[in-house]
Amino acid sequence: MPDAEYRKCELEGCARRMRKVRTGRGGIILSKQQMLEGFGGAEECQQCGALHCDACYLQRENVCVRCQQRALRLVMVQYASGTTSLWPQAPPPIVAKSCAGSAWAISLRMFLATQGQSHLEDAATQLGAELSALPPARSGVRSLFGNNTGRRALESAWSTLQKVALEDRSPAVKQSEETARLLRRCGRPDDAESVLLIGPDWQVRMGQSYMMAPPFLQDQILRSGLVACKRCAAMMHSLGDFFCEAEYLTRLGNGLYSARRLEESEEAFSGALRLWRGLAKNDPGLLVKVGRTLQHLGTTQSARGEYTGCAASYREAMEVLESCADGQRDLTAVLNNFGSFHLHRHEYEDASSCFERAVSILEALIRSGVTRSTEDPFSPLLSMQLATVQGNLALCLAELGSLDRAAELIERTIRDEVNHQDAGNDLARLQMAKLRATLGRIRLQLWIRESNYGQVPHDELLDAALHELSLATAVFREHLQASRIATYLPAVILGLIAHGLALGYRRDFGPATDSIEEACRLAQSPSLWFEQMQALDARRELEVTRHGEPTAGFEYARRAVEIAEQGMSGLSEAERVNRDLVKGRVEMSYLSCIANLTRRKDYEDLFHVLEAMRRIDRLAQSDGHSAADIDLRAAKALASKHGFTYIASQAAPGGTVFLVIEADGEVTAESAVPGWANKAFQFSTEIDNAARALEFFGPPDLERFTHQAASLFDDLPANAKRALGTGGGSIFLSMGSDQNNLPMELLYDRRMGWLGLRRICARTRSFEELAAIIERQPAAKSPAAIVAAGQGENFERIVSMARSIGDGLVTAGFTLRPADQVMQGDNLTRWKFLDTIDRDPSMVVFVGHGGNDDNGPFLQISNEDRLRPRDLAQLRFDSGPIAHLECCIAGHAVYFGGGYWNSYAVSFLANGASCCLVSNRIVFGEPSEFVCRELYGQLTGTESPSVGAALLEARRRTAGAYPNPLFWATPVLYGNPEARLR
Amino acid sequence: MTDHFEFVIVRSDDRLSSADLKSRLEASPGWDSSLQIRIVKSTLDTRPVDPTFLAILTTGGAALGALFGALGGVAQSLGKHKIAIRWADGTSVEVEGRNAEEILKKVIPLLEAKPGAKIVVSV
Repeated sequence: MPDAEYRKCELEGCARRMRKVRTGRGGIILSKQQMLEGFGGAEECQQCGALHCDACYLQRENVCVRCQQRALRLVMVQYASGTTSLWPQAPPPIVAKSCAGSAWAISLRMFLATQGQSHLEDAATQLGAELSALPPARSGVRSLFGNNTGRRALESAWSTLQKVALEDRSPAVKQSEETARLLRRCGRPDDAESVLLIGPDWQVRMGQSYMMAPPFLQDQILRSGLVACKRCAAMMHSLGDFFCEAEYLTRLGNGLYSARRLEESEEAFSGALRLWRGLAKNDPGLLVKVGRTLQHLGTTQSARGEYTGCAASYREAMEVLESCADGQRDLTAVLNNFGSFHLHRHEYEDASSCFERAVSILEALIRSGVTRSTEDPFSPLLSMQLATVQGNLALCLAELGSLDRAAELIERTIRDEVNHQDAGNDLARLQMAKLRATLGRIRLQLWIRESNYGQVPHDELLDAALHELSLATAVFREHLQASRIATYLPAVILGLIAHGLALGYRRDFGPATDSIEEACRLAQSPSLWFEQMQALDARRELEVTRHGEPTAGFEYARRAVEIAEQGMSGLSEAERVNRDLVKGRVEMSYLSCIANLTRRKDYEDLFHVLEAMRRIDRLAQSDGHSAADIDLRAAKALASKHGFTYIASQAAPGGTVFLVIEADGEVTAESAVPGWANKAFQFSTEIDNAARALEFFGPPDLERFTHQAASLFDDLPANAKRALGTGGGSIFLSMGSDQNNLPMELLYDRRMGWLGLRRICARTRSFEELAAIIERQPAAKSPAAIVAAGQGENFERIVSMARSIGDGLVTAGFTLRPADQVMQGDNLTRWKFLDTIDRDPSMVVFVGHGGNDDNGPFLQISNEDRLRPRDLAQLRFDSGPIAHLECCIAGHAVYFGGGYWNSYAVSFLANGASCCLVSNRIVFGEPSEFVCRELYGQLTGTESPSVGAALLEARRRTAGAYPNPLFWATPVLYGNPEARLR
Repeated sequence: MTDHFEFVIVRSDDRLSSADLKSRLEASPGWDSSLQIRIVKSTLDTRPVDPTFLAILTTGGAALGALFGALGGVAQSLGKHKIAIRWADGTSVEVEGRNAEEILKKVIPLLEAKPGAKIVVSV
């Protein structure tokens, strides 16, 4: 059709040209094909015949811009530019033409992302020409290699294009059409067009284009999409079309999540959830929507660090979807997300059960012939989802130490993927490369475990790891040359790092250095600081391997640490929850710095690095909880002001380092005898084992026990011995890594006796925490106490002990909560306990049973309920309570690397408690009752001593009745020893 | 070498209950049915969640191999590498869980040296 037939839009500045097809009469319903061909709505002035394109709706206010008459009517037109009405664009760009395969595909995707659907014909013609110019496809195994790359890339692009071009598949379409008709009847034709167009466009833009687009386009896509979605949601709300409103709110939530506007995203999903719940009451078929929205909500809450809410959302999603006949596919997605949630929290047993269940459902679905992950025929293949879940399960198994099972699982997944995929598009090949890289890393871990870094020959394991990593990095490199999609760069960098390390272990240092340096170069972008940090840490590791010296590579360690700290300081509030992972990854670099700085006597930097390693939890909390950064000068001033001694110990290459800040301001740092940490661990294990064998062998031989404890004390560096053995005032211990559980109270000074009977050593995680708690005291005005008696063996004795403690507290002027009673039986559940201790108690006491399972320490609250340290995460104590958990292993801290511990003491102190008294080991009934009687007798007596002083006296008296430290040294104190009940 | 040994298996954490541990041991490949295994409740007033342990009576070297093979397997499946074995006189030995042969090599001389003693194994 000649251009002369098209007329320009009347509005000044609008370049769109159109030709009238017919009058709209009652409205215009366009098929998707018509939209693709450039047909759309416009307004024609019945007075002067001027045409106004629909994109200028907002500027003309239903008045003809030429004659100023309010005489516009709807007409159907064909736009010359072919652009859709809602996203008018500049004249169509030329699709970059190149034979580079993937590059062309990416170019096409970018084109679609920016230009919408209306230039598909041009793109299709060009794509067809490209495809037909290619030589015939190879077949068989050879099809995986060589010149089929270009074909696969083009085919992938073709597939994308087809998806875009096909009829709208949104489940909201039917509803949208009805709504559009209603809007037209109401005289709102533009709104009707918006409703029809936004649905498919949003899906296409977000689903197909967003992830593929470069960052600057992602922002643009997101912004336009979010504005459109908000407008549509508001429009549907005004029309009372709750179905469409819920659909648009869900899309809005997804878009906001992608934009990391998590609070708004949660709000959108909550709104959608309310609507779906209401709709599902009359239409149970919509329960799947309820479950799906709950899943979105849970994911957003997880990203915001709202763990309790997240777990509740996922659990409800599972319950809802389990009740739906067609909820199985969504259930697998929830299970995968819930598993990842547990994986992130290091709850590996829970994580693995979620993943295993998801795998089992997915396998059953695939066997029954279901192929896609949702009702959308273009949603991801279930087989790909299965591979993802199996990959997660393998990671989980590896964390649980089952490296063999993890490797087997990934190998099976790779075999299945090879069988399922035909030629394989870009995405599939990258997915396969990622699986191979994961397998390579797991095999590398296996080699490290079996060979102890090459000390025992296991070349076959190292070769197997290298084989997988080589295959993966080859695909990654090919991908980098062709297109370099930003989304895949982290996986590529991790693959190169692992490959470099494996080559280093085989002593191929040249290629190893090249591989890791390449990873460093690729990661030189602010958004990839995490990967850059990992690459630098790997570079340090390579130097350690090359020189056989654990402190080698100091400069790389230093840079890795700097990058980590810079990166973390730039994280958003929502992302802070991931900081523990960051530190876990760069821990060896920190340790290398600690060892080197101690040797150089660079105490300022050493103090900084020690603190940085230990402030993960503080950084993971909101600003309201955080203390200011503290340097060595400020630390010395605080020690001097309060007259305490601070000892920070940290196992590091070359020996455990002890940094001591004396009350007089003197600072020293020295290393213990090599192997001290191992010896201390063995001693600690032996004490645990002795406690478990008590029934059969009685208490361990005191003389032998004393000898071991004295030997351990003798091997301390001189500065630590001096600090522990002499002087007055409090001692604060900040013991890094797993040393948090070491029995410092059980060290024996040959001159002075047991340390635990001489002074109280209060534990803190860092100097920063010490600074935060040093002046904390329980609220003295109208003090309230919560005393709970947990279910379990010997319950009567537990209740009796809890009542005795409660009575003592009441005598001392406390009110028991709730209802002036000890919490027990039906009145004690996890949630009741949490609700009751939140906010303003001055004392929290739990007497009962505790333990440690796959998910870390727990308190047995009732037969069904176990309370975990993480459950306390969202509490806030305003009244600085003293917490006392009198049960087995409540003081046990699980160390996850990077200065991150999980324990009750950590949670209580982080949330505002002034101190926490817990047992690191097994508690025995009679000695426990003895300690408590003495302790509370002191605390609630007329003299009202500090917790530290009362504990010391209780220990001394208990030692008189039970001389073996297995009994008197069980309770340990975290936090402020100067806290007082009154 | 004495034919009978009395082992007590104590758990170092709560990842498995005594009942679970018993089932897993009995389901281990190569388990010797002559091994008599009982769940016994602790007579002490302690505060772990499951205050029980396993008592096992062995008869002969083959059963010992089966016992330590199974214990090693369970320990490995829990991601634990070491099993601690302890005698009443304070002697203790830690062995790698994944190598039953190595365990026996280390343990049998001690068993021979202390006939009739009760042995506590921590897993």
